[in-house]
Amino acid sequence: MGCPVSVSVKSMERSLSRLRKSFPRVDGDIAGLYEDISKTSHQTAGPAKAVPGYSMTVWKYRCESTDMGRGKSGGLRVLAFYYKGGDVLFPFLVYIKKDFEKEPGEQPSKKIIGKHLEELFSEVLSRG
Amino acid sequence: MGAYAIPISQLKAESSFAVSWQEISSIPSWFRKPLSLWILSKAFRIVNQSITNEMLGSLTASEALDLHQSFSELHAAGSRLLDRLESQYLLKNFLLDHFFINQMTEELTKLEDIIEALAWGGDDQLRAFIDGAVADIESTQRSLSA
Repeated sequence: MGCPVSVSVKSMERSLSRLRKSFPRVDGDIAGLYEDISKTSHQTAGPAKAVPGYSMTVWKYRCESTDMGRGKSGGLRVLAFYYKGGDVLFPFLVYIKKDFEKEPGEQPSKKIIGKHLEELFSEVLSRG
Repeated sequence: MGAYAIPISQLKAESSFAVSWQEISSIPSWFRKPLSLWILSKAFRIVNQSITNEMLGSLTASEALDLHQSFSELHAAGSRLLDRLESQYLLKNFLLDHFFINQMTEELTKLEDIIEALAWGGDDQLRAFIDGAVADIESTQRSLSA
């Protein structure tokens, strides 16, 4: 069963607007991923990978970049937080794989992730 | 440590066995390369099929770090071998018109996806922060619905 995706997270919107300058079709690419998640499941779309150690609350997705024409493996990465209580997925960061990858598989630092999560949580709390 | 379908120690052992094959210089190269391809492909399949989201989600910080290191070495060995084969036309044709090579490239991509997930997983501070934030959200929702 599909999972609703919250599309108006500020930190996600900011990282998207940064990418729009170089990748004008990024919104369409991300919309395709969201559609996949809401039709299937946040655990299978993407293909999804649970990030270890967070009780399956933090997820990573691969998404094709039509601007780069490189398919999912060299394309976009989306990080999202799954709130079990409300069965909602909150994407909070999108980036290009090569932006952080000096070694194969290297990812944004924990500091960057923590900063984005902090912003996401305060936003969710303020919404009530 | 959690109980998994294939124990972490076995996944690590499969991984380091596959990596070590490439380094054995006493075996002639024409035989070692196809054999390495087969052994590495087998290790990739075992790892890719064993590491489920349930397993990833329940790994501890030290397990994630441990597997990240092992799988990064395995990934590097696979990439090295593919690079070497790229320049050897006869050997490439022998490997059933690239069939095995394509299959290995596909498995290598899947492994890379797992390595990415392992890269920053299991940070205790971040975990405590997430748990605290989730508790705050839940308590806010409870007080709003009360």
